[in-house]
Amino acid sequence: MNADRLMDALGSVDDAYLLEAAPSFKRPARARVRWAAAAVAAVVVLVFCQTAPGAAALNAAAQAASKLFETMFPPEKLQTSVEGQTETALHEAAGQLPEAQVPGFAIYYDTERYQLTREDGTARLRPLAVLPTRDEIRESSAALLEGLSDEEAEAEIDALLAEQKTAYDVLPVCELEIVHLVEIAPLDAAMDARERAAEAWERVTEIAESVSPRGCTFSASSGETWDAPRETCCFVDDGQGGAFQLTVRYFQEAEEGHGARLLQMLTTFTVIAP
Amino acid sequence: MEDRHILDLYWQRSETAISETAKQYGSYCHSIAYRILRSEQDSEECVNEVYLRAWNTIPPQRPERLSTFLGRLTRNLSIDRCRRAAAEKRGGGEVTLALDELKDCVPARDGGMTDGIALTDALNRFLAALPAQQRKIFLRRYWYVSSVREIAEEYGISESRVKMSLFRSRQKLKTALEKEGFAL
Repeated sequence: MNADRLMDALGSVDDAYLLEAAPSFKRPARARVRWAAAAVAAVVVLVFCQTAPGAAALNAAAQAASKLFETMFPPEKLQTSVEGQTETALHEAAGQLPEAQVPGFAIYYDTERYQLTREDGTARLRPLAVLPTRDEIRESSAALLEGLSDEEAEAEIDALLAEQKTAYDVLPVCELEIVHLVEIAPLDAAMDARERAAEAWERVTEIAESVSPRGCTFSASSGETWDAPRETCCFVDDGQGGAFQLTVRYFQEAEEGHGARLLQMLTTFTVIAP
Repeated sequence: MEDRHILDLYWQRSETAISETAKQYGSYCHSIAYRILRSEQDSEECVNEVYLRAWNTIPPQRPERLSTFLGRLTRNLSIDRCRRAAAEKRGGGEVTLALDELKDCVPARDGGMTDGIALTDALNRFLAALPAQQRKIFLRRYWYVSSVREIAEEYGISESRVKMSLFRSRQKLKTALEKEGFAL
């Protein structure tokens, strides 16, 4: 790889030579219209609205946030292997802007399937509960509704809808949780968390290096039934002497669905320095 | 907006720093990335990575010249991407070609970072000694990773003349590095 060394050394030659040889740059700067800019701004407003004291502050924060996020993290199509199939979905960035001494973060997520919420300093990405419409139920349950009066059919549809909603409510949690930990190095935080996990879970992997995002990680699992819980924790240096802890939670049956998607979103996590 | 004002924005941790950087240097960075990566999407991603890297390194850094600071970041990140792509056997495009061309004038010794600095110093001396036109062509090929055709078009000369200029530069580089004690 000696040619690589020469290429790297060339990268540091004097500025004057680079300016002298600089080609013309014809491409207009960021000329592309970002159709999703408004959507990104909306997401950022959603994330920050709980801390902004008033509408004016909310507006200003949203504008600043959207500028930063729109420029640095434009929407991207990401591929995920879901149930053995490659799924391509548009992901948008959201997160938290850095403040005085507090680092921020950005993460891409599939806005069609997930929502980002924030409560008490914890950000959570959770699947959206997509309930069928009345027409869809009418179509899929045509046989069941056949022969019923209009009134009875509507009541049956109500019952089916409630059933669907209950089914969502009783499913074990699937989420990606982001917590900022101050004054603790990622590895120390990982060791503490693993120690606690070893007491609560049947199986816990050793702490290993994580490449995307750069940090350290371990996984925990218990049981083998369809609803057996699974958890992957990742610890990322915040650059300020602390760490971000990202925890992906899902259950056995959701491993190749929400589990795969959330773990893919985890890889897009980025720290933004204050 | 002038560089120093943009740098002030970074130091004030104002998000406008990024949009001003994009406005001022977005096309410059994209152009460098695209020459290396030859993919619109990869270049976009790379330039976004440059903004984030700039945001995360200024402060504490305060580059004297923002354009070359961003240019270097773009080049390094793009080449890294290329290397990763090559490692994944997705091909390295112009970077692979440029590396192949440089292979013959490369020193064999391996001295880590100290050697890297010495090598850059030697390259600066080598560039200073080259005629201006030859130097520009050399850097266009091996710093900006432009193709021979692009260089020929921009300088209004034939491709064979560009190739000849590059060949001569590489010969001179080989001799210069040998003289400086970089054994081949």
